[in-house]
Amino acid sequence: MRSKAFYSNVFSLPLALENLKRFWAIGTVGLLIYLLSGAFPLVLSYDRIRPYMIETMLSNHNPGYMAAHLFLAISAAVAVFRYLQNTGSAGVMHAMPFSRKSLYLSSYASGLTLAYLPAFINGLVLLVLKTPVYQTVYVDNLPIQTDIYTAANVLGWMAEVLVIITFVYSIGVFAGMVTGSMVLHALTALGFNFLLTALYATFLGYSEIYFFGFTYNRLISDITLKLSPYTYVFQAEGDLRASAWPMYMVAAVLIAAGTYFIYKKRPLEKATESTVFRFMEHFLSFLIVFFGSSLTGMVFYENDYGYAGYVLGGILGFLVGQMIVKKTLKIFDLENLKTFVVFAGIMAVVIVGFNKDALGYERRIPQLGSVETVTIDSYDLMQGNRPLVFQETENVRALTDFHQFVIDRREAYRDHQGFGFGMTLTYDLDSGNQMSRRYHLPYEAVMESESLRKLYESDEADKPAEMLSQLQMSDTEIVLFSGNNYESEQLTMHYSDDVLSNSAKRLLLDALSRDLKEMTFRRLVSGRAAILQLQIQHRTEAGGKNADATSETYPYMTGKEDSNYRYEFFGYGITAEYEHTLRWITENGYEHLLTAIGTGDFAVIRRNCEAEEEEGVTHPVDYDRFTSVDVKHQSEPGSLVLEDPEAITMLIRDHAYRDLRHFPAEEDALCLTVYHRSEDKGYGMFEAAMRYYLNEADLPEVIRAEADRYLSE
Amino acid sequence: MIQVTELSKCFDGFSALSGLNVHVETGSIYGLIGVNGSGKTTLIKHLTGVYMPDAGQVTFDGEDIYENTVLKERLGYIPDDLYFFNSYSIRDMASFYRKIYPAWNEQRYRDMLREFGLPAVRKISKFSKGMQKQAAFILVMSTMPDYLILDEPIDGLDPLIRKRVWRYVVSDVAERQMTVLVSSHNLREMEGICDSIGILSEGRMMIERDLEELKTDIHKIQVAFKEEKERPLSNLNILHREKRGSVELLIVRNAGNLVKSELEKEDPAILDMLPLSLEEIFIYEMGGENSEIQSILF
Repeated sequence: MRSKAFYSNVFSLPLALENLKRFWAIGTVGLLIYLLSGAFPLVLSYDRIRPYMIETMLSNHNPGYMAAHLFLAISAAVAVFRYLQNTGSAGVMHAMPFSRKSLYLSSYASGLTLAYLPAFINGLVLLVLKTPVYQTVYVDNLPIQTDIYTAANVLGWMAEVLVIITFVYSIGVFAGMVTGSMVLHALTALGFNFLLTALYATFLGYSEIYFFGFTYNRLISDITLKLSPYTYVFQAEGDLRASAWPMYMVAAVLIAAGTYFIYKKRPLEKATESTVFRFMEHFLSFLIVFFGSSLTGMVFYENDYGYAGYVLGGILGFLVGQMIVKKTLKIFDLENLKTFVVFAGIMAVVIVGFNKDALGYERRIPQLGSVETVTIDSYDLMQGNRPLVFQETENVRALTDFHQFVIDRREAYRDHQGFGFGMTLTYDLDSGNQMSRRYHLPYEAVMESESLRKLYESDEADKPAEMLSQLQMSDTEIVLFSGNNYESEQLTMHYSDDVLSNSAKRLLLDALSRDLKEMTFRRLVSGRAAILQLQIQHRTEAGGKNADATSETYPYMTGKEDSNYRYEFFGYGITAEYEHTLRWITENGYEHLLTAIGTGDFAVIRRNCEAEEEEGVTHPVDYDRFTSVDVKHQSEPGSLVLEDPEAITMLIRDHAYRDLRHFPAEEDALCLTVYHRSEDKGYGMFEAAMRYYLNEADLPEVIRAEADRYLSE
Repeated sequence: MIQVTELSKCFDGFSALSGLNVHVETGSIYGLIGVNGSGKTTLIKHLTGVYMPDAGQVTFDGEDIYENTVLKERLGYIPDDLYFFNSYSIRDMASFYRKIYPAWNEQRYRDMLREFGLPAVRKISKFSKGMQKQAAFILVMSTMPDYLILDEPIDGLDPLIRKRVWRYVVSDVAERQMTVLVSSHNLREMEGICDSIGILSEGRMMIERDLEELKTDIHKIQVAFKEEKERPLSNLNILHREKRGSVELLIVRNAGNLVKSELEKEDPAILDMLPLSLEEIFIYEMGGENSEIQSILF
């Protein structure tokens, strides 16, 4: 009689086929989810397929598809290894002519087939339904129209799903190998798949609470999501890139191989218990304590309950965890008390470690030699909406000096909640890593910094200004408008081949460039209010098809319909310190732009800055003209209504600040709110468009008397 | 031959088996007796290659059973807690067994199915416990095993079915030299079936004997002498001695001829050699007063 042991030692085809026969229902349900989520809606709208349908399907952003991947991988893992979770089945299966290796490999392979087959069939269906569907995709930042429903894309989807399912399934199988009941197998299969991501996210949560300067950057969130191919598709870049497939497949194979070795050691007598290895009992129990304590603690921390949440969450987590892993309510004994003490100790180390910054996160500044570039991103210190990038050693040193200055005063700045500068420092290191810190600093920490002064007055800081002189004027559009209201007076200088027009643009940008270069740090941080906005849209040859027709198109600028270009945008708030720019405006006959408000608009000076929360107001002075007059502002003590555009412009240009950087506190400043007519709010309605701050002692003579009279009431 | 040598197994610090030795001759039926928790099932899970020993060896004809798929193709096992694939009928299970057991005997399967009268296409999960045992027996016996391990095999079976089951087992032992180990917590059930018996208690083998040898060498004797006097009968190995009036009851372990000749030397008024049940043999063998043995036997 021929022995079948030869192949039974390694792989049993009969067992694998039997598993497929036994658990076909799982695959069928999975296939139905795929078809109902993708192919059926596609067929129903076959003559008008929208690109997003294909895009979401083939990039695995379709919720139905993602649910199916997870369902299939977890269900298959639980089903094919279910025999391990019962003493009877474990005994019978291992008494059959299979080695543990052949049982494992046959079950693993059949489960994976079961999990992937529906996706494969769905892929074939999508191939049959294939028809050209065009969408804008970005190639080298260039948007182009391309057919996204191709055979290659469908095959790519099938490969991507294979990677996702193999990875999720392998972790699901691992979970089954260390647990002793089907319910816990299913729960841990699900939990382990998101364990690293959840742990990483929890540590980030701790970092956010305790670390001064902590900030999420793209790199951090990407790392979190890239820990699993399942979550990878949710990260910013979107698709699970083919280059990442081998990495995940290798990881899945390593997990599967490790699981096999665990299987070889698995004590079968532990079937029906929660966990089959002692260490897993502690591990699972601790995870429940860790997440219970951390999440409750973080919620309580947000509500100023200090450490009570950690303690409460930890105790509840421990009780629940012990009940789960021991499958009993009788958990109150000396042994568990010892375990609790150990767990509490570990949690205390974690929390105190974060609180005391045991790893030196807050104090870390990269070595000067390891920094390739450093970017300083602060809305208040920007020129042209662009963060400043430095790479010269002296500048990097100046920035690290400033960084060190901040770190040295971290205890004073840590809880600074008031007004101030937000600032993100990002170091790009020669190792390819990135280090980012975000601070919210008091005004004086920035304004009085000698290091930042050196930095902002360095030649490298002039690069944004120099860039202006490199722009092709025929491809540059400039818009100037009064105040902050693009519906007010404006000057638009369109793309043009007209020499005179381009010459004028060049002169304007040269003036702006000179202002930027001559801008001292003190003037940059002076916080003076802008009296007009200068915005630049520049286009460059795309050399291809740009189908980005509508997005980010400003109503006052030429649209971005032309597919032969890509577009950049720069914005500047022109203050009284932009002397050259203002001179160009005056000399070229555009003084009217320097009037900060439109005809009929008005402004209100208040002593109490809080009293301007209305959605929309009527004109307080013209109350005779309207039946629904709101005279609240005029009648209320402590406010003064101004209608004279010249006075308002003069106030904004020469006396107003855009924030409170020069005031000890908000109550030390007067608020100047400019109201623009707003048809959106209804006929005759106005809305607060801009708020400025005034120093009462610095008010001009022309309104001082009025101010004394109304504001003192 | 099945040989278990110095087998030990601990579960979380609890010693389930400790230095256990078992010897099952080829072509024999071995009865493994023990109360619940004595270690019978643990031993059986080692014999079927399910458990990995902490120490010691389990060999079948000199080969280790653990992870030995060649041996397992020749091994039939019916556990106490039966397991069949969910929603499977006997026919479905047979189809699977047919593919994995090379000695599968289709004719025997059909004959047994007919003889036991079980429906082949009905889900086994719908069967009664007794029917499930029969189904397991049909499937296992159809694999034509050289070694058969039965864990409490006749629980839940009616006497007619028990007889039928044992007929198949005895027949295979006689015709194919199949080696059988059968566990039970009741010694009485094993009498008449087993060639040898092992009694397990708290993970240790208390006694292991060949039944024929045991029955030949132990005798229950009623004897009365004409004259009252002390008779040491020092040439005999007397396990138990009890006086009931003028009649003495002796349990003696010696060859029958020797016993008879020694007693006749004393010119007895009455000399009867009575049959011993298996239970009595073990009671006297173990010292007679061991309460644990009593509980196993009765």
